Amino acid sequence: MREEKKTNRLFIGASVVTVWPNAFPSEEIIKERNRHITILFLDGQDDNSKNLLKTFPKPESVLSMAGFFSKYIGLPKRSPHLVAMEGEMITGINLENYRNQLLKWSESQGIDFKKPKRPFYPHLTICRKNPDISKWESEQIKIPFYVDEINLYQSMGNSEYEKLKTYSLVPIFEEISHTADIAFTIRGESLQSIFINAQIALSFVCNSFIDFLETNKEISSQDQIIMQLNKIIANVDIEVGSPFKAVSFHGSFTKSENGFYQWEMIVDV
Amino acid sequence: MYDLKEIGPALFELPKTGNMKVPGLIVATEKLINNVDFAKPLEQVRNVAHLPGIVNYSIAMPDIHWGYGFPIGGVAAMDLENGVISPGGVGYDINCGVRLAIAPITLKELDERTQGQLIYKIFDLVPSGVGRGQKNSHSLKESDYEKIAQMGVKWAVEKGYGFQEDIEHIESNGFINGADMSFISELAKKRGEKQLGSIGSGNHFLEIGEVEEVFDFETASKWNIEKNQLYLFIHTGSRGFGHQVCGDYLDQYIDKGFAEGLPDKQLVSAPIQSKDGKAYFSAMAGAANFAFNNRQMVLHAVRRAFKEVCNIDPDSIKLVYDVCHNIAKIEEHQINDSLKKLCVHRKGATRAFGPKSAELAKDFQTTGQPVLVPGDMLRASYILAGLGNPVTFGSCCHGAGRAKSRHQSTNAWKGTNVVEHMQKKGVRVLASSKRTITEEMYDAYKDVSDVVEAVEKASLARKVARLRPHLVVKG
Repeated sequence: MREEKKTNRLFIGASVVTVWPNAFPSEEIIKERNRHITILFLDGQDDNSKNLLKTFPKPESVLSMAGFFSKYIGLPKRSPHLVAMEGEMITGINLENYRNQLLKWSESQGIDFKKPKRPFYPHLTICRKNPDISKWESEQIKIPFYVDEINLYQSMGNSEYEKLKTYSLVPIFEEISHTADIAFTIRGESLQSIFINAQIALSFVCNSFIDFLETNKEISSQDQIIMQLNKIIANVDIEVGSPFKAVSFHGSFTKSENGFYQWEMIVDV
Repeated sequence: MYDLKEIGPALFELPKTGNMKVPGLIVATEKLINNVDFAKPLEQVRNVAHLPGIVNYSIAMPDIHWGYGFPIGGVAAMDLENGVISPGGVGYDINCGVRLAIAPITLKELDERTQGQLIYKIFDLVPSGVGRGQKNSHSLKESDYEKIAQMGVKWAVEKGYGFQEDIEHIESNGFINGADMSFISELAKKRGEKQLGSIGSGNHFLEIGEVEEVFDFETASKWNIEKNQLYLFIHTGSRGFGHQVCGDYLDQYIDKGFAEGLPDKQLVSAPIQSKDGKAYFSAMAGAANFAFNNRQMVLHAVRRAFKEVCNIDPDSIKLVYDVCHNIAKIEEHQINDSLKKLCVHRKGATRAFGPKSAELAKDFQTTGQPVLVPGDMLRASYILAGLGNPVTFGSCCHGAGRAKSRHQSTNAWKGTNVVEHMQKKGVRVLASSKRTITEEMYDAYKDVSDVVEAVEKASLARKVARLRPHLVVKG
């Protein structure tokens, strides 16, 4: 019996929105459109499995998940030959749980691939071509990101990838027009996540805020979100300077069609 | 349009509706009303009219634009006995303001190279942009803060940052009475301790240019202003110190439930005569005095730059005037044939007292006070003379007013080398952040000439001179 030809390597991954640095330690970097966080490698598959994989389960929530890249790191750690940005997820659905969900689903569909042995490690490969690891590690970064799409990718070789299926996510924030100041629509599933996502939004405008992230604060009201954000602004101002004067007491929470909260945050600059 | 009723030249009434305690009064020409989106700012004018003790009108200047709580370009006078004081009606940047000085040369006397050296020297001496405070200065101590509160701008002058004659050329002689540092948090003091003498970010700037046209020669001559002369504008406020004062009192007032029943929480306020109201006023006055000292120290550094680069003596660079445009002040105004004490909130609005006002120094007794109206970094700015119009409690516009959001402006200029673009137009711009320049490009603002036309028509102030920028440091 003839064995059906297998595709190039497939995988499910997350594309991200971030404030990419103006320059990287090397010029040989992966093109922006191809950068992603891999969630689950699926190996090469035949056409039937490939088509089945296009129906992979959506994440539990359509709201994007967010975090920050904390440093450049050479991988694999023992004998590195590529550079990745190490990610830390702080809000939104847990990507490790989602990976487990995808694993179970693909098993139930009879899709054959090598199962991951290690725990989920969120990272984004940025350079594959002869990286001077020490140079990258000496020029560290810390930048926020959020996931805007979950994709089924097919590797095309040479760090080029084709998206075979895309689930678009609703961003945790969007900058909106405000005549005098800076304004954002912030989205979240709870007061707590609104508070964290607001901090992520601020750090997209002023990167220093990522060093002052507060993720464990108990939040019990909308007013408290504003007061706590203003405390963070004050601390940033004292330590490194803040372009923001304060978050104003303005706007109220509304519930979106998708069931999460939305808040119009106006920031005096 | 917008349900406005014309009641005089460039004056429109916004009728009282719902729980508004007074009607709104909009200073604008039909051209401005038709060309700019007034819907959101007018909603804020209506909201302000809900505040207890508001007298006559909730007022909007022609540079009005959408803020939060109060509109930017809003004026509200509250009865001192039964009215309220609103931290949001002053804004986060307490005593944000503008000062104008004139140098004894024309811009053309400085060749291109010297102009470049001058602007870089200023950029070096005057910290601007995010996080740029005075690196080498000592932190302000508690005793410094106490003196700033008690002395106002005299504190900086006595320390050698300027001259005695500067003081009379500052609104309220650079001192708001009633300041008390015990009503200001340690966090605010921490934020401000290295920020005196710095511009900050956002729309703050330092600008050098030439007097392009003189309209009122008699007044201009009394203020030592001549055509082609070199001017410098400084726009900054109380920095993080003032922002924290405002934030602290907003938090306290909201925690105490003072925002209940108001259409916008940012309008939260306390009776002026209450313990809470008085505490805010004392803290605000402290931040206002900090801001006067801030602008004084910036001017001092600029004078130093002129000395080092152009060998121009510091005392020959004359301060024309310094105005506040985010403040609440206790003033006396004629209300129904009697003098009444009011707490006048000006948020993005400038005092424009006329001739013979007891508040003004002798140099301005015959002319009225200088009203400084910076436009944008390309087209023009204006020097006006106040007419003390009682309809607006002697208030006028504070600038051109934004027409586009920062977001829209950034998107509109995406991909353009804005520094090169401005250079081609004859304006050299320096900034710590490119984003600030794109957010602040000239077309993000209304044409200031249209705004000035409205305040002239409404008899709030008259034109003295028009200025044209050439060298700009943005925050």
